[in-house]
Amino acid sequence: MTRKPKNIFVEGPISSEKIATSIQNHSSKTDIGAHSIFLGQIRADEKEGSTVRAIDYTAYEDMALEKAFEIREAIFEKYPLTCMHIYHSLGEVKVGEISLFVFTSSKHRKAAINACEELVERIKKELPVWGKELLESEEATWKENT
Amino acid sequence: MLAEKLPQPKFEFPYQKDSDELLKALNQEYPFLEDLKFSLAVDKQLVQEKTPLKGSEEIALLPPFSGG
Repeated sequence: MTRKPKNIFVEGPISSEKIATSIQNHSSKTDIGAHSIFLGQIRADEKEGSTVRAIDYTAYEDMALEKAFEIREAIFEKYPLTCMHIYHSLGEVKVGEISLFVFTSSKHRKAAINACEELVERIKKELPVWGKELLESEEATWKENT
Repeated sequence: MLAEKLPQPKFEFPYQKDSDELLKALNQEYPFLEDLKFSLAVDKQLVQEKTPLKGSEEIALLPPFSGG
């Protein structure tokens, strides 16, 4: 059986409850000794004489899910991980809210930490996802990843 | 940003034999594309080099990604 791409998209912000539950769900996996978590938060950047109040995310979903699956397989291949979870928001996420949640778990810390970092970098670089920055002035600009 | 400028977000485009020809034809039809940065995906695969086309593929014009 071939594994099918798992949905990574969440409508709106990722709640702290979801993150807490996700951590809690791993307590029964007693071979895990380390978790690494990355949380991407919406920043109130100054843009065009105004301030970002939210980001509206859209994606080429089918391609993004295929790509996420490919990245996931490659990272599992490279690091001795027990678990890996990726969640990305779609739609509007306000300043201060979370739009990306990456969670890796392993026996020892190095694998979890390095895998988490590489995952975040690859997600930002390779997933066809776009953020439109909504400004206080009711204008909008397209976000660019640095 | 790209979809906002094209007549429709999704449309059929006359057959071109490969990705280079397709880009050329798209630029001719929509000259504003020349000034925009985007990459091409054929059936959800990013085009890295000239790719032959059959005519039934799903083509996507992808502006620089800004997820996360």
